[in-house]
Amino acid sequence: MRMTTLSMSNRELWQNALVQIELGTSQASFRTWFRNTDIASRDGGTVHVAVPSKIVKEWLMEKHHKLILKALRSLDSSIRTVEYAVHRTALPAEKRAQRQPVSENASFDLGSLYIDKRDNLNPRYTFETFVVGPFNEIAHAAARAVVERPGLSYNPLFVYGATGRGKTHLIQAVGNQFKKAHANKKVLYVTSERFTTDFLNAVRAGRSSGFKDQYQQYDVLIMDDVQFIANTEKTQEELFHVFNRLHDDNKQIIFSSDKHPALLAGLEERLKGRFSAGMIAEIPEPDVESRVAIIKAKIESHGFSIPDDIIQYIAENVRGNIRELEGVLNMIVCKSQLKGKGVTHADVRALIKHNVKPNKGVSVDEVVRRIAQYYEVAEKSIYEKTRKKEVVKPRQIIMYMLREEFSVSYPSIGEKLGGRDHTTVIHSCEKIKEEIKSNTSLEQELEHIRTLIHA
Amino acid sequence: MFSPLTPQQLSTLSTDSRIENTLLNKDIIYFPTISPPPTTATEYVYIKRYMRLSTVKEKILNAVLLAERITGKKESLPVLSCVLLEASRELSVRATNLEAGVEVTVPCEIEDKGTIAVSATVLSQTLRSIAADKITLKTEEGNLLVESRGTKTLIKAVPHDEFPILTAGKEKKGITIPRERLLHGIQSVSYAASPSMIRPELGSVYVSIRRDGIMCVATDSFRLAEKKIPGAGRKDEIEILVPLRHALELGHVLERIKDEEIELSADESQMSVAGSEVRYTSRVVDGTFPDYKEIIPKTFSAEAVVLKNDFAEMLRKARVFSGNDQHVGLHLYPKKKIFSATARSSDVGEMSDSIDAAVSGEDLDINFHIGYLADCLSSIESDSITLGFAGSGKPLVIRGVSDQSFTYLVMPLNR
Repeated sequence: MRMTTLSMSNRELWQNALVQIELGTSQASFRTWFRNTDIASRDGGTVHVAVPSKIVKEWLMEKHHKLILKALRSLDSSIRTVEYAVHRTALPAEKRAQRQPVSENASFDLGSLYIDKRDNLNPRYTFETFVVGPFNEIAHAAARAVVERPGLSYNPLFVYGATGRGKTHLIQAVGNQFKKAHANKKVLYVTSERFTTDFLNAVRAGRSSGFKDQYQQYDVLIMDDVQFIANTEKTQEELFHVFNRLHDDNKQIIFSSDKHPALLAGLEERLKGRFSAGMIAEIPEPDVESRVAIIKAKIESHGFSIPDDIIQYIAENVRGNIRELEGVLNMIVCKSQLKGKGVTHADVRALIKHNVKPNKGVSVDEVVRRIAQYYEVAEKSIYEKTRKKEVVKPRQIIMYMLREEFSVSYPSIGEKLGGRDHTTVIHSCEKIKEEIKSNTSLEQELEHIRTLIHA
Repeated sequence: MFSPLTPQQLSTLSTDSRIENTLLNKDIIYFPTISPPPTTATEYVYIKRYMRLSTVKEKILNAVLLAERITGKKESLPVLSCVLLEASRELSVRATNLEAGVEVTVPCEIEDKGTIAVSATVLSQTLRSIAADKITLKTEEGNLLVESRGTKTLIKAVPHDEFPILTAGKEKKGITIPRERLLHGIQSVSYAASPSMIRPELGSVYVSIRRDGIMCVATDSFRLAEKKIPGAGRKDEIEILVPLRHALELGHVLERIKDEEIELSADESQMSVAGSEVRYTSRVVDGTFPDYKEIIPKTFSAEAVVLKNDFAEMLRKARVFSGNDQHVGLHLYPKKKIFSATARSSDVGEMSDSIDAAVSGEDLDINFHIGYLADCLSSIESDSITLGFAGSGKPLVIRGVSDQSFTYLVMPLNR
């Protein structure tokens, strides 16, 4: 996993340094003091070493500092200083202890209780828990720059990408990091929907004129999913004013959305202009290598372990967003808990089969051909204008399949199947959906067809 | 010609950093009688350095027993399974397992200073078997000689140059709080913490000292215990998450300290509790305890007030009949004034018991893990308890009648 411009990852650097350090200490010493240590982070010439407790920290600082610095410098001469921080990850023994059977007792839903009411930030979303890879390193670098020089480097910062790629995590990480670095400054995270609701409530209560004032106090404003502010006239105007005031005071503003600002429908031009005025960073689909890293990070935080080859398999075959990846991992973890032991390749294959959108290896023509064949009608009749019952049904099923299995757009389907109107396609899909509910033999037919297509 | 070091020469030696590394912790230093004194380590010839002190057996035994509990169990470094005895102005007995450490001061008469490390278990066994009151400790040929009237034991010493520095907590000024109250707080909730550290904040006891008092909370996500001790608050505030293991050890230490007040100090990685003779330090979790106030139900669909002992007895009986899974079903039928419990297992049989109760609200049948219900009862002082049910699948709140200091929440079973 590459970390920006370093030639070695921090982990590799530490492992190599440990080899040298081991030579300079007794075996007992090495095993006692250097166990569970790692490099927490690096900035410039300073390496931050994570140690499990203060006692260890004091000992390393007192007795082994020179040795550690020497070992690191011999691997990378740009390293100037070493600092030590107490930071502890779950020990392997503790991780093993966690593999208990699924509990029959209900538990408190503590997840949402960690959110800080003052700023709505979830303390779990930090840079430490954010996995960086080639696909998001630009957005990540921009986010880091914003923390370093808020209001000055990239203002506003606009992060966009399809759902489930880590936008919220990244922009909240900026907030959390900022909070940590500047205890007296104020951060606010809101979704655009929340902003809209609050504004409408203020209007109803007759407080609309003072609404924007409450945002003046914040040094950083983070607004998530701005696409939902589409087609709202007054709310957009309000956002426009809030933005201007904050921006004029060099307060940092961060936005996220599912699309590039230029492509956001239903948004005023002047607002789009403001969104585009700073830095725009995309988070595209994660590459396989990054998926592997994300999977590893997620299972490690739960104290689980899955063999590397299975991780690779999951990374390659579960397309879609990071949330889906998490969903699959949860299923695997659940399954392994129920079984009481590790999961096999076969288990994983079975679990992801139902959750994977198949590769677009099959063409529309193929689909038409196979379904036509299945219903024993001439392939070309599907494309023709004919409304004979025996052709209509397969045609509708083809439309349904193309939509459900391959997410082809309605106009596209209409066009490919003989220049039909997209409303016809919509009607066909709805019809089949309805019929499935009452007709089990149809459902079975569709299942057969699915296997035929994906074979 | 060798002469013994005068105390002045000895203290000069130990403060001279040029020779410190070589002579530190060495028991044998030879000092040539030339003037001016040599400046390099190699010029010094070594003379024997004796530690010699006498003390009351009971006191040093207690110190060693306390320290022994903190020693590392399967350590790669032998000195971590030892106690370090350091006699300078007073005798301090120290032990650590790298996560926690303890230092006990023992009153004694010191004739000669010195430091030595010996196996904790060997020393504690030795001291235990001594009948007499007074004992003397000496270093002899680098080993520890324990003598009292009629007995003489020589314990092999372990090199102690790698015994960790425990400066812990001494730099920061702590806040003074009543020992008993802190102990009570920890004991009232620690059983509710999770034994696993996967989610460190759940595997810890949350301790907060604020203006309005001490508060201790623990939860493993299945049940939650909160104990508030008002009136012991301080202006300076401390908020820490103490890993369960260390919280239990702290409780043990607090029970044995005789001081009425202790000093608590903490930073993001470590906390320290000190009495006049004992100091206990441990690492703390750098995390956030969930803001659990929201999950405490404010309204209840059914409530019952029962005698604590009746409830305990009912659970005890249910335990016998519930088999391995330890499940019990509670049933409230307010209109018929019934509050009962049922339990069954295919091996043992089944039981159904009802107890006198003031019940109100809607009918409810709900299943719980017996242990989770019974655990809290020892933390409740009142004779009567209230059970507030928020409905199927929602938490049960248990409190002592007219006692707001302790609140216990428990989630029912899934089905």
